[in-house]
Amino acid sequence: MVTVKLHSLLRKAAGEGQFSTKAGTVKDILKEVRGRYGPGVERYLAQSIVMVNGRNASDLKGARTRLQDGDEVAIYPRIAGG
Amino acid sequence: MKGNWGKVLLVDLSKATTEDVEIPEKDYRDYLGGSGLAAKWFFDHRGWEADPLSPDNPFMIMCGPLSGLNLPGASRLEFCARSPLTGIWGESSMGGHFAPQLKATGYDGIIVTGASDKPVYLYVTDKGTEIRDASHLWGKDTYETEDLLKEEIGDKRAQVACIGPAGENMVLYASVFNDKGSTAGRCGMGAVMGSKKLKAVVARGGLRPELADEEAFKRLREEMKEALKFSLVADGLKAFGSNVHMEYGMAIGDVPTKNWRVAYWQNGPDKLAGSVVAETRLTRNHACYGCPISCKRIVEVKEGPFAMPEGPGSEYEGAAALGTLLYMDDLDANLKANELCNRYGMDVISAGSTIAWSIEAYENGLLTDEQTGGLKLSWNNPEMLPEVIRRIAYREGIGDILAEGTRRASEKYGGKEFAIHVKGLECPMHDPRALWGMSLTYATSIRGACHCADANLYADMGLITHEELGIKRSWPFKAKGKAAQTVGSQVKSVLSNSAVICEYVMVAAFAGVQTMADLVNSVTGFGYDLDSLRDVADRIWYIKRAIGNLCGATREEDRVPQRILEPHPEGVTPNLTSALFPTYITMKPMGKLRNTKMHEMTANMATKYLFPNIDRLLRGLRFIPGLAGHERRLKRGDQSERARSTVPFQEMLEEYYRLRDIDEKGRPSRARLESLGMKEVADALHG
Repeated sequence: MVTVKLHSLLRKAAGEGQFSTKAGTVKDILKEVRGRYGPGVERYLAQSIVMVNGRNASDLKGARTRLQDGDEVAIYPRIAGG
Repeated sequence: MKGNWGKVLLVDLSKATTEDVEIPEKDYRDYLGGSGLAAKWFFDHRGWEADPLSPDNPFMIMCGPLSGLNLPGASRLEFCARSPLTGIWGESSMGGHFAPQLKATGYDGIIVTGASDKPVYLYVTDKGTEIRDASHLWGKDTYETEDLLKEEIGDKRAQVACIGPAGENMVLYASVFNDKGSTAGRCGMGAVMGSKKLKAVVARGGLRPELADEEAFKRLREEMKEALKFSLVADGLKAFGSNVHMEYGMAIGDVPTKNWRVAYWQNGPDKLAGSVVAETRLTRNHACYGCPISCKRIVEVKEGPFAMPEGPGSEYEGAAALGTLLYMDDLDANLKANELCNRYGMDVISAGSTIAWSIEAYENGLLTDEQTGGLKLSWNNPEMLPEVIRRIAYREGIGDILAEGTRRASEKYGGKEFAIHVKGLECPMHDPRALWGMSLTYATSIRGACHCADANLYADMGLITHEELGIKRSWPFKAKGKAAQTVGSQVKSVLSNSAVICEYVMVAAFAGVQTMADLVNSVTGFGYDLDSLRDVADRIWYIKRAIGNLCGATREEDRVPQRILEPHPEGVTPNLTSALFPTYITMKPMGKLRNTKMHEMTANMATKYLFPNIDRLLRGLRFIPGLAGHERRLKRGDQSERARSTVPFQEMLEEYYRLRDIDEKGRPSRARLESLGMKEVADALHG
């Protein structure tokens, strides 16, 4: 199983902070997030950074990054303050 | 004069006298107000000749033309003096509810000189001013002081700006507090108050200056409120406070962790982020005067070793400086530590940074058990935190060392390479390795390392541009254009800190220099256009830079610690070019469109077509020489990769000096100063 963590406004829009899935790639996970939580999450997902085990997915193989059992995926929408 | 009162209250605590002093309209036109006008006063009265903690150091509390107006973000005012922490120009901005009351007394500001023999507080109203005894308040924390003073005065609408034990004991980074959680945090303005035995200033008034164009002001206010309704930044701040930044910030490598050693730490966003606070500890939001965003957090920890009653919670800087920076992920301990800093009255950034330095110094044997009084300083040690903070506030044992800040502590005990400060002011919680522009921000900020001295934080993240100033966008992780971007960013923040208005609100409402000109014109009738207001911003920046020079600052001090320019020693510094790429291509539609339908549609388009293909676009970048295999080469110890991943700070700084016309000694050139009508400043600098 892969653990998916949702952060910031994405977490609020989804109504929960994490879920587990058997998805095999980052692309599958993004699809599953859309399926699970509907259009409310779209505006945040569009500009999110996806981290796989603490590494930016775009530094790996982007949406095609393969996931293994025990991997941790964190999705961060681009909302900043400071 | 419209929009301003044209006078300040001058208080001499040595003689226990007060008088009204008129300020010429030209000074308002040239320096606007807030910290700009304070700098002009400081220069005219040769403030740099006074030792920061001596009676002669003028302590200035200044409103701007926008301060206290019923306008989002206009709750702010500035506290200025020569800083005891840095020895140079110090300024610190405060939100909350103090500015509206001070403005309503009929003064644009208060300037305090001299020092009292015994503790006093100032009671300023629209009917007169009193210097009152504060012996019974000395030793009380900031929360107690505020409650007691409101009770004593018998008016809940009176507003209090006060210090706690840290200010009384002249901890060099002691702060001034209002409304419990609102603070003029940085540069040790609380220590300056403590040196004058000034426990508090209480303001209560009912006056309002006449505005030049009431209708225009109302229209601009409505436009601003409307813009805030469609702003993602405002949404984020409202939902989770400034600590909304913990999450995205960590993803781009912007959140300093373990004294800036670790590149990424999932525990930060998982345990300390604003969204976690909202779900577990938040009781309600709280707003500064007139603000629809309400980014402040009110929290409660009901039980456990770090239980705290309902009160202000950490903002982002507190969550990071007293959390990730100490490699500490206990949310309750963080909230408690933040509350203690508030109550004792000190800056969370400098406190957290100094503690982080001390942990590393202890780890390296530079501080011994004898010096720490048996306190085991270590990472992720929540139990230690409240005690260290208490000792700092009362300057007990190790606290006396840490109360001096990282620069002095490291000069005395070693460990300069991990003392993360610029000009003696500890670096705030934004990493120049993630946002290159921040290196210039820190190095060239007048008061030392500061993230509010300019708007580079937002410019680097793609939230704002400076196109209206004719400055092209600078790409992330490219040196080209960063110097110009920094100048543009400084123009905006200098104006925000002089007008005075909240930077969050300006960014969230997409307001730039033209909006600022419109706002100031509607209030003062000064009739600025973009160019003349930019000249005002430049004048303010140069006079502050000159004050820094006169206090002894040279080019040597315009530096950034090497540790925060080079790749992280622990973990992998992200391959940053690709990390921020998505931000830049989706920024415009998300930021600029104010129509909800268009907003949703653009987001949907981006989600459907752009995001699924983003990896192809990004993978394309790998064909660009130097981008592929970043991590592999770094791990292998490849020096050229290390150099590529190091922020090209010097290159950007040289370009910045050229744009700002700074000479080899770090002074603004005579020609530049004279072109802005600042001959007296040129004469003081160049003889």
